[in-house]
Amino acid sequence: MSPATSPGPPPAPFQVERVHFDFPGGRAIHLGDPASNQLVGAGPEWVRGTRNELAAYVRGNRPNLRVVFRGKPAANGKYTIGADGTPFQVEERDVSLAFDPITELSGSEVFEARGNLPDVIGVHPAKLDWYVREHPPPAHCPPAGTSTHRLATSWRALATAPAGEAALPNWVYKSLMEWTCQWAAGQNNERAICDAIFNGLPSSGLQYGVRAHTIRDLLLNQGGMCQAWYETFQQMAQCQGVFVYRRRFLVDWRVVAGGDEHWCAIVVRNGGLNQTSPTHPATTFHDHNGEFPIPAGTTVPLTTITEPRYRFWGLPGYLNDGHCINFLDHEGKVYLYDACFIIGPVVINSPIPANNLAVPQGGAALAPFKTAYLDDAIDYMLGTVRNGAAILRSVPTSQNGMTVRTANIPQTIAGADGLTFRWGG
Amino acid sequence: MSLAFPILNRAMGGIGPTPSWGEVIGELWPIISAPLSSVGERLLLDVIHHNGGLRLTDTDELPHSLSPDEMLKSLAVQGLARWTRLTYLTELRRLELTTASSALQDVIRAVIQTAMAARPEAVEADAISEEESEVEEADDGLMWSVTTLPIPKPAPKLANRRLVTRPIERFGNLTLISGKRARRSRRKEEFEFAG
Repeated sequence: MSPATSPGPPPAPFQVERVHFDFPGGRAIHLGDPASNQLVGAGPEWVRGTRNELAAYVRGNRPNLRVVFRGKPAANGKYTIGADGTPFQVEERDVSLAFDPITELSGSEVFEARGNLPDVIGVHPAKLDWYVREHPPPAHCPPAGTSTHRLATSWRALATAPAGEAALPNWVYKSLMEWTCQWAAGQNNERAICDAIFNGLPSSGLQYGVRAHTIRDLLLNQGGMCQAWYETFQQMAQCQGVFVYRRRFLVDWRVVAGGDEHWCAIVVRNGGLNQTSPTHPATTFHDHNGEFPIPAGTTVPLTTITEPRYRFWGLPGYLNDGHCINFLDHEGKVYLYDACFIIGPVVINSPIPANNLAVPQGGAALAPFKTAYLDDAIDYMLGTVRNGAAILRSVPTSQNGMTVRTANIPQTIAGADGLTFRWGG
Repeated sequence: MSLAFPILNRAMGGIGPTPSWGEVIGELWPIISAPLSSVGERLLLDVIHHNGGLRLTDTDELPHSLSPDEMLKSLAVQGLARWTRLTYLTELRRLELTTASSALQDVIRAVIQTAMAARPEAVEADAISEEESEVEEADDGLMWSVTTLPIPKPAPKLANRRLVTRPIERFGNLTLISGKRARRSRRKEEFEFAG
């Protein structure tokens, strides 16, 4: 029986007013608020009647918390304070409280939890019934108010980037922590956690194809483009202590024999996450769904269609646009996650592509990636391609040449790589 | 910002209708796909120094892998490096250090790395290799014409450039390169690497 919840003594002459988990010296994970662009823990997560924000810890950790009480100066004095509750209690501590005559607030006092948080990934409601110990247990104690909280427990401490990869911040957005702790609840290995996060994405309501290129803008705008998405998925995994790689594959616009250009843009018909169709305006495409390359002197029928599709344009001789994805390296296997188009996990039987924009990668080196992912995910590659006597020329952002089924592009064409990309981080 | 580039001017905060990303690229591409004019060079420097986002219509296509302002900076960096090589190395390095975008940093590093690799090295202790400026200018023509956007040849590679080895002569405290008249001023990149 809780000493604080039993009927009996009158309330303490003060009440709990503020509870701060992510304070300097605290053990909470730093969380960011996209709306304010500040750390949630810049102030107490719980303020009576006005604020109740998420706090996060690594599972099984023992929280400490900084608490402020409200009372009259007449109540100044020494007290033994503790809290009963779930999922943890607060160890009793002797404190001297002095209340400000104007604000009626005490100074802050740091308390230790008695017991650890659950040793699993999850989001847990917490309730702390504060009391003043006046007599030894099991005597009833004067209650000093109740604070309620939401505590997320992650799998591991925030992931850090390995050498050669872009550094990760030492904080994460609160919504990403909350979602991933819900979606990956109970999971206990990197692959299962990533899969659970990936499968949870649609339920977030967030979309692909929305103008946002950073995690913060994605959260504020309820969606983003692929740059925002590969950063967001990386941070989602980071929340659980799992590092996933970010990679961009950029269109490598090459002029090949005969003046054709392979390739000018990536073309995708899928609307992407929580979209029924691409958000880009409709343009006219000339699809070649048959064998490629087209034999010299041969004219093949093309399907002309005007519809919205995503075009990821290259520029001749320049590093321009491309698509962004994530990789997980787990137990010797490489898994690809495409959060934008919800494709994954895809096992890729090759190493994670090196971050090296200076050198194009293609042909045999690209083959496992192409077979396992690209042929399904990327409907067409847009090029400047000869069809009999005609040449269908692509002009960046303004004119579609010929769209060739990605799956029909062979590993080599006339001795050169059929498809190449520039890979960046 | 030069009024010669009204669309870029408007995208970067100037007065007038909000342009689309396609219009921005349509105006930028002719600038960076041919040897830079002085106003074009100035424009690209303005782009890499520009703070803040671009003003663009939301209904048109946007780049996917970088934000529009980062993509514009990326293209400006590449354009400057392609046509002036390491002349603006300081500006490129500064942008690399100040941008929050690791993706843009990757592009800048790759561009600098490529430009560094293309720099001619001294072929022997007492000789110096120079690019013939006439060769560079003649090599910068367009490869073919297209409907609206001209497509340039890829950036000249070291192997394609005519390198001329000239003996170095000394006269008192001066070092002279045979067959070359003294230039009135040095390019900025020489200051960067002096000493």
